[in-house]
Amino acid sequence: MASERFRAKLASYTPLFVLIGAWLLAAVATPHFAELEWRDGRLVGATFDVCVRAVPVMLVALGLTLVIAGGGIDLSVGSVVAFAGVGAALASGDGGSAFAAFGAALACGVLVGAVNGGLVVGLGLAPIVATLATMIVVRGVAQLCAGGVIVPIDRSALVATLGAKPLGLPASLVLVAALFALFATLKRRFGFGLYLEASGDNPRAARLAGVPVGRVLFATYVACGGASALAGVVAASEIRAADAASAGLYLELDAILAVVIGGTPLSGGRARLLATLVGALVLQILATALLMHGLAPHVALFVKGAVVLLASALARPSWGRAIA
Amino acid sequence: MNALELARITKSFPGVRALDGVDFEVRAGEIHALVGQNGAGKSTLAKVLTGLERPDSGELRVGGRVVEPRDPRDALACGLGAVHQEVDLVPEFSLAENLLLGREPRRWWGIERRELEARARAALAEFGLDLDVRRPAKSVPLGVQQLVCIARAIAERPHVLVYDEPTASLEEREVERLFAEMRRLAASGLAQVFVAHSLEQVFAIADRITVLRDGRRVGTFEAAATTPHAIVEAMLGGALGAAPVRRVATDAAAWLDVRALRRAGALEPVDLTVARGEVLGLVGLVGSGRTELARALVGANDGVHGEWRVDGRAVRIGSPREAAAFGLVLSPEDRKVDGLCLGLTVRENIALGAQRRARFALQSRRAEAELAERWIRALGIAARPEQRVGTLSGGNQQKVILARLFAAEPRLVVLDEPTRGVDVGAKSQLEARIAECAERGLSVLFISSELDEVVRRARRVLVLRERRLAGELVDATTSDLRRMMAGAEASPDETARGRGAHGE
Repeated sequence: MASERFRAKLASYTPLFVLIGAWLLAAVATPHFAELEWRDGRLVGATFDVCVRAVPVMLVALGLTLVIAGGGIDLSVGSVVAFAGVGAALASGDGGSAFAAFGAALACGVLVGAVNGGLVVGLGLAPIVATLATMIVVRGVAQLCAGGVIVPIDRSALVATLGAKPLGLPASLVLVAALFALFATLKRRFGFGLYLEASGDNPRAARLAGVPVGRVLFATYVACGGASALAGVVAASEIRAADAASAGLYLELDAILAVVIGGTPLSGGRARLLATLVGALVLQILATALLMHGLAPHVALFVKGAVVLLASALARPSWGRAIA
Repeated sequence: MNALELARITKSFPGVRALDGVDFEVRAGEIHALVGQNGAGKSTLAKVLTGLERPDSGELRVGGRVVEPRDPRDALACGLGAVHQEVDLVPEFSLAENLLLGREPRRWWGIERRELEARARAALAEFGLDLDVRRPAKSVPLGVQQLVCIARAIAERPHVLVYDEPTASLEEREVERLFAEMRRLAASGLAQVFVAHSLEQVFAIADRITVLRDGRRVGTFEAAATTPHAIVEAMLGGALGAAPVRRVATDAAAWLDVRALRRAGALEPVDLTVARGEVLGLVGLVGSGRTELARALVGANDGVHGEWRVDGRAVRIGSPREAAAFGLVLSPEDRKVDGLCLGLTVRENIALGAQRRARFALQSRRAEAELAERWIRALGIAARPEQRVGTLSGGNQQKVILARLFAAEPRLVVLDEPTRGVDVGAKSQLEARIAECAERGLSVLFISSELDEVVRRARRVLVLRERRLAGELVDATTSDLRRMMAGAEASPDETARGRGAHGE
């Protein structure tokens, strides 16, 4: 009996084991991958690089975890990344403050999230259809706002802010930690998490039990839009420009994969925020290690697909039991 | 010769040993009842017999041949047919498609519709049902759907037919028809296993009765040579505590007054009042509108109109959330679809009830766990707080819903068939708990198909017939209720009493 419970517990840690396994594999197979040193007041090394590069996917995937836990999906996140990047770039041009840049980006993201939520909750459209539509439209809007050019954000206060290194850590990682803390607090310490998981598990029963299912699901889309907007700001500040055509392209797929590797069921009813971050790191370890090997991109795609299949198979309770 | 033999069947789930070395045999042409409390292992045994669960160890023999059914289809190939407690038709498919699912008459272009429908009609006709087989399954009432499931199982001509609480959603007439059919099949040599909660039904139909307790077989009895009392004692392990039987009524003034509660096409205007601490009964045949009324009362359906007065103050109730704010909560008829979040834990489902009252307060998992522990103890739920509700037996699931309702500190609980699929022991516990709550001032609207339960609990009973209020009886007997439910032959005397009570 106790061992059954232990096994179930063990299965829920599968993403962590996959992360450790992926890191060890990368470290053994890739020269210099495991090296990590303190140079000029900051960390340098592949492991550190993985964390920084995973930031956009981590931010998006945190928001997406909430949407998926509510039984929905949001395909528009990649377009929101582009849209919010353009918004931030336009707002921070001509010496605009970092605050204005973040504000503009968040406004873009929350707006799209509210539209998604309205389509799904208000009109009752299937989430995959509604957000597929906004995914297309929002990228168009982003390109329209950018006027068909890449908007530079060099020399703005935004780049300086995100380039800051409090405690030797990049500001973008602090942003991830802050968003995680916010969502985790909402989930664990307020009723929101319970409402969300109940709505995702069985919306009919949740509604009868007095859960404001519509409002809860609407909130997840808004939160996901906001999280994607933050990712858009980070992505834009990294390349010091907002590229409406290619920023965040296919990011929704990586974000969904991160959520799946983390073991949040796509059928809804469970939100595993920390495991989602782990999932995003697994994906980035793969990408970085394959890059360091100089493997051709198409080979990298095969490896990525295989790892995703393996990780999601291991996250299934029955498999977890079989190997434990 | 035995048609079915089970030897030392053992099956464990995380945290429980559901079956512990069960031996069991069924003779050809016999109707063998399987009884026990919730969690005794009846349903698990039925699942093992129908291929839904594979035993950890032990042997299954059909007609002397060892079989190991991997899934329901495989079980059928081994000669083990099944009729489940919950209707398992595809709601969107037609009755004909459901009846012949997986055995459709095929041609090179696909399914031969005309033959499909003809065969379906014949299968239903044999069962005494005359229905348009092209209608989607969801368009016929739940009771009829169950009959179609049974017709389908019988059409498969199995060696052994396993019924897992087949009568749970059937009306009395339909139960009688099913029993007649079962007797006919028994005469033709079919072995039948009947998993049941109603001992009355068990004694009406079974040749032998096997009692399970805590996953073990307590004994097998000849129905003719034993009594319901002896069976209940075997089920409970000797400790037969009689439920305190008392009717609850009150002279207190009505605190809830609902006028012209209605929904186009589903419920004609109904007036009802509930007093503090009153248990109000609500009865009607399947499809009479009683579930509709229950749902309308707590704002669960769209398009409902009516005037609610709570403590004399007019209020508007448009959703279950708003209803809960005034203390009106519902335990819905269909536990799994409407009642519970099966993927969540016992703790989470119970905490859901208390959540509304503390919406902006910081939550702690420990407080939730304490709340859950308290209700688990109070209602005698056989589960751990962190167990997923989907893994519990039907009776324990019902108790989790009750715990959630009580955790919301309600003023009126609407219980739609709360004792369906719940064993005798748990049923009396539930009844006792309801009576206790009423004593503390909680009002109850009690909806049940089991009329003796209703008259035992409620002094005042509303009767619905064909989506309208047929009348209201005080201190009625089950036959009074039955007459009023059926309509037509209500005696003048009864009608007068009904009117009198209504005008009060």
